[in-house]
Amino acid sequence: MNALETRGLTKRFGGLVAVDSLDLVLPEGGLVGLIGPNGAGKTTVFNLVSGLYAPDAGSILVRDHDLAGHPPHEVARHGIARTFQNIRLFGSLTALDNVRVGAHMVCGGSYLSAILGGRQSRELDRRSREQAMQVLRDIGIERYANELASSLPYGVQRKLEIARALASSPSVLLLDEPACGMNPQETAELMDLVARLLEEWKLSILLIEHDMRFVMGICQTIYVLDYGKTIACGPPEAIRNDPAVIEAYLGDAVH
Amino acid sequence: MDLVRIFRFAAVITLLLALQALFASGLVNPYYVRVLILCCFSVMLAVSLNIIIGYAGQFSIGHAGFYAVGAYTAGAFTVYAAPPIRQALALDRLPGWLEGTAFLMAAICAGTFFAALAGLAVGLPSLRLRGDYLAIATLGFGEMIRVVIQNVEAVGGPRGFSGIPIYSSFFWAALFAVAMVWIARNLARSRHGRALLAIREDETAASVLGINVTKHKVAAFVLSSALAGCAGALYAHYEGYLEPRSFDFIRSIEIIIMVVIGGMGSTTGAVIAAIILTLVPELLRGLAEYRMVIYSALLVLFMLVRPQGLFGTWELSWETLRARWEKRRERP
Repeated sequence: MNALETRGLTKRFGGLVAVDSLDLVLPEGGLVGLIGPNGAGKTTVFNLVSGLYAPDAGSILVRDHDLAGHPPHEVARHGIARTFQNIRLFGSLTALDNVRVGAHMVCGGSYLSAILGGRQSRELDRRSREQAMQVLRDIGIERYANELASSLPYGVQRKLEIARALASSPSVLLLDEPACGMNPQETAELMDLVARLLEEWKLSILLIEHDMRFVMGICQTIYVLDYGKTIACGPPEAIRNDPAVIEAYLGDAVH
Repeated sequence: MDLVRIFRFAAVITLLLALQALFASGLVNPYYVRVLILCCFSVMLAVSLNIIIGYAGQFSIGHAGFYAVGAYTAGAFTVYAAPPIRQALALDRLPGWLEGTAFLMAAICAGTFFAALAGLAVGLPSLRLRGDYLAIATLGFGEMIRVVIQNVEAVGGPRGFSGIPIYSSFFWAALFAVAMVWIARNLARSRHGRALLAIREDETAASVLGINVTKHKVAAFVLSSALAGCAGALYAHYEGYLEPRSFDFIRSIEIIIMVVIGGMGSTTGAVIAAIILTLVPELLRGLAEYRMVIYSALLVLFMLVRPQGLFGTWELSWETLRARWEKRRERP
């Protein structure tokens, strides 16, 4: 079964077709890359899948549920988590609290019990702190737990955003340019982390990335978008030599 | 663990009862007692408003309106509904203090409930939208409720609502102030409280983590309004007289100033600022007509020196004190 599938997914902004009938398949446990020049519609795809935009046409299938047009918090309940291209952490909360917010759905505990400070609520609070700490440890940033998110180094902020997404125990993770702004060593670490997410966390990952070595190195399938249209789709070797892709990236002067 | 909580609760009750006995004995200047009780009301209002402004980051400028709903509903309850209930249940046989307490609790329930209902009616349409709609809606609501009260003869209209039996006292005001601080602290430590902070920081990021942004904002707003209504009910039965003017726009602004001065998002700050801002005008009484000028100048000066408020988002608790102490020890 596929972890995520889109059929004919389309989004228009006025006259501009940002995403044009996208048919994308993310298999269970798979790692699929989404590439394309700037403005190709990659982030729009993420915004559609995570429910921030309502599509104009098409469907988004997650385990036989069509999530097209559902609000973001409902999409999240179906196990879809994401990160953002321009990191969107909760700046004035600590790293630990960022992750605890990520665990909001899996925490449980009623409102009444929360404001009355009931035993159940306090117990859940303690447990959520431990679980969040565990996620930070897994990602290797536990020493920043009590620092404010806004004061963290850039690379750690990127990792923290992934940790926050993981805390919601998703089945599908959407990573929007995770290696953006990272140096080669940080990128290598990130590739290891993504590999671990696939193996240890059993996630299915959809990835937007500009760093070609990153994408070609770890993705099983790559979709190439240009002006909202899918111009190529296949394994990395095929994409590397696809004339349409080369043209989109380098212009037709190559011919 | 729960024994500790019961003990703590008993300690608070005992302390407040002892203070109440002291104040009732007449040994303390009644003016000081009155100022202290007014501080309790300020604390209730600031702490409740901090939930929606400080935690959830939604600007509400009609808090006095919800305070008014609570006060007038509770007052109307004891004036109009209490006598028939007393007669029907033959409550005259009860000792006076017990009867008073029972009616006070019922009035508080009524005030809290109707303020919560008003909160829901204002919050539901305006909190679905992003941005400053809540500020505009609450501003309108605050003025509307005052105008409505001015035109209802049953609650005295512009003359004011008098003859409300005085059931409330220092004990009840202080007890509910403590209870509201406790509720706000519990909320902040739960996942629901953290969801509010997340919404304040970034609504989009919060929503993709499975947080129903509208639901949490409305719930926080209803809670905040309900607590203001509860404070209003206590106030009605402390003063025994209500007038529409004491619930106007200026009153709402005063409460906002308390939250801002205390540091938005800090309940500790809201409590301290509420007390200071209630005391300062009293202390400045000696300056007669210059009083409000000095008061305003102090506010401006404070915001220039410390724009993040007294406490920023810092909270006073055993954990934060311990963390601070450990940090100091690490740094030789």
